[in-house]
Formats: sequence, structure tokens, C-alpha cells
Amino acid sequence: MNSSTTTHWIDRNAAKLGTPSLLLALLLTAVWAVSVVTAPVDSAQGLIQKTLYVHVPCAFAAYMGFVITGLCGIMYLWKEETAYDRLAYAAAEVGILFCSLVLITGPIWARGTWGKWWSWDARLAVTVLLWFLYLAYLLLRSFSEGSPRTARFAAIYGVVGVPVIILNYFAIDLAGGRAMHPDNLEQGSLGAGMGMPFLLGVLAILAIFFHLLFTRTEVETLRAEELRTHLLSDSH
Amino acid sequence: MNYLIASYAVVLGSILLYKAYVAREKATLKRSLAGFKTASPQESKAG
Repeated sequence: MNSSTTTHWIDRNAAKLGTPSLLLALLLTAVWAVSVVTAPVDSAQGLIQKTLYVHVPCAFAAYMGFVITGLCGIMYLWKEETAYDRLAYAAAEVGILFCSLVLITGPIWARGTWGKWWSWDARLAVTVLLWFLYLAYLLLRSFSEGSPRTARFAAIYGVVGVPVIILNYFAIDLAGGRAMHPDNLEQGSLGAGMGMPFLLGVLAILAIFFHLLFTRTEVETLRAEELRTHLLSDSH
Repeated sequence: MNYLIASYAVVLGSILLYKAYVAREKATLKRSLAGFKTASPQESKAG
């Protein structure tokens, strides 16, 4: 078992990529902002449709966070390297941030188009389930002592959550026309001139996601280092 | 228009708040580790 907090490739790269990822995120956000302002106004929904350029990318970032949590869970169970556990924890927290933003921007968009804040359709219900699932993951981590046993349990929990992400993505197809939520984008929901701001939105939000993930992972690495230093001093 | 501005403001504000929280945690931990490393040689001399 490798308990080193300074030599693992995850720790090294998280510390190294913080500033470059911030610069990339700032650059992409600036370009994205211009493209959102200049994007065509939807004939049916009006300006409120531009919420799409932030709502869907936030959903992709949330998926990314939870998938990384699941993958790192598998890697932790396989290799028993604590760096994977730290990355899984950081990814779940950043994922929850973006999932919360999906659950905030969605109702705002719904109010502007459907006239009501919430509707219990399949996609919305599964998104709430996903949010609670990974919130419970974070609570489990914060209320436990960070032992290998907790890390193993959290790893299994993180992996078990992954099918809910797939269910969330295909919830509209599974609802079979009863969903209020628009179709997935590959089925042609985007109008002319809306592809570029959407793509830039995805790239900008993912750049922000990775910047937050790197810095949050660095915090976990420092926390582990601090704990190790205290344990070493107590043992002397 | 107001709903649209609210969406983008919430996203931007939340990301900036979270970024500030993580930066503060990082700074606190770095200070704590630096303080510990400075104190350790003195402790060993005293011991």
C-alpha cells in the first residue's frame, strides 16, 4: 500500500496544473461570454433559451465529477493507493457543486418557459436522486475518520453511483414521450448558430471544473501531509 | 431577461465562492505545515 502524499502522479500533477488550468478557464470563459451574447435568439423561447449554454455544460461537469469518483473508486480498490481516494473525494465535491448548479439553473429556465419552477419528470427526478446520492457520499466522508475501511466503503459507494449517471442521461428516452424536459442534444434540439456557444460553454465549464478539481485535490494532499506530520511528531 | 441573468449570476457567483473557499483552505493548510516545519527544529533542540 502506498501512503505517500508527495510522490504520486495525481498529487504531482494536481499541484502543477492549477495555474495553467486557471488561465485556460479564464480564456475560454471570455470567448464563451462573447459567443453567448452574440448567439441567435430562439424564436420560440426568446432570450431565456440561452440558459442552455450554462445549464447543460454544468450537467456534463457534474457527470464528469461523479464518473471520476467512480473510476478512482475502482483504482483505489485495485491499487490501494490513497491518492485515488483523495481524487475521488475531490471529484465528488466538485461534481456536487455543478449538480447543484444544474438544479438551480434548471428551475430558473423552467419558470421562464413552462411558467412553473418544477415538474416531476424523469430527468428532474433522477437528477435529484443523483444529487442526494453523492451528497450522502460527501456526508459519509465528512463524518468518518478517513480510515482505509472508510475509503474502501466510499470507493464501492462511488462505483455503485455510476449507473445512476447513465440512467440520468437516458431518462428522457426511457420516459417515452412523457417527459417535459427537452430531448438530448444529439437528437437535434439545437438551432442554427447555437452549436458554437454551446461547444464553448462545455469547454469553458469543463476547464473550470478541472481547475477546481486540481486545486481541491491539492487541498486533500496538503491535509493528508498535515495529518502525517502530526502523527510523526506524536510518535516521537 | 431577468431569469437569464439570474442563471448566469448564480453559476458565476457559486464558482467564485467555491474557488475562494478552496483557496482559503489551501492557504490555511500551507501556513499550518510551514509553521510546523519551523517549530520542529526548535522543539528538537529544546528536547
